Amino acid sequence: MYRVTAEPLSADALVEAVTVPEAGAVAVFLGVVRESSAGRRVVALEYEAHPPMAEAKMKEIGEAVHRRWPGVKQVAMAHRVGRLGIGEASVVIAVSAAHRHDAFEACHFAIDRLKETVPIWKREIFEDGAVWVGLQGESPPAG
Amino acid sequence: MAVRVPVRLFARYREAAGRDQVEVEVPEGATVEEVWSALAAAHPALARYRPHTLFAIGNEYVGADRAVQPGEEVVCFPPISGGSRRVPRDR
Repeated sequence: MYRVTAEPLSADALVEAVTVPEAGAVAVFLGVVRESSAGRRVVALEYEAHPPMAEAKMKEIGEAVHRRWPGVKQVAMAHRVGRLGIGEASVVIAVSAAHRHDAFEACHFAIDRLKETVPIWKREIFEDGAVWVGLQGESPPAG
Repeated sequence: MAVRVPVRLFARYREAAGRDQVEVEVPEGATVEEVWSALAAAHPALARYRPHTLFAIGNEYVGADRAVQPGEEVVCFPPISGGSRRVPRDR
């Protein structure tokens, strides 16, 4: 299961999706909205995605996981879009494997790759403004 | 011969252009870079983002030297929020 959705994420649903009889371990990662960013108080985060490409890139990550960890049985990834409040989950990854070591490693790999390759953008909403994350080094507008 | 190429924009690029879909006119066989130049000429607010920009056609990242085929849509977007500023490796 590789999905971009505006609905609240259910870790249980992803765990269920990857739980198979051959698995002895399921590792789950949740990314949740933190109340601060670089010392500023965050009110909410807004996520925007290019959904078909995002889902295709998540599927590629799953395929890379299976190549690298043959002991992995199933991979599921879901990312939420829209406006999220503090504590809400923006991303959930679940990986099942025969043994826990592969499940932990593959789950860690999957979230790192997701943040590198999956086209999703985040805007931090503060009490006094908002900023797109990324391009921190951009030059100011000319003129 | 000139052709019209559809372009999609995301995140701050969408906001800078004021819309998420535009069309630009370029010579037939133009590269992604030429599409970007036409886009930046029509929407000067985007011009300063070129060094950071990622391009995709279909669901794949492409380089700026990629020739755009008839019927293809070029997608332009800023670095993705979670990652480094390097162009993602497609592997």
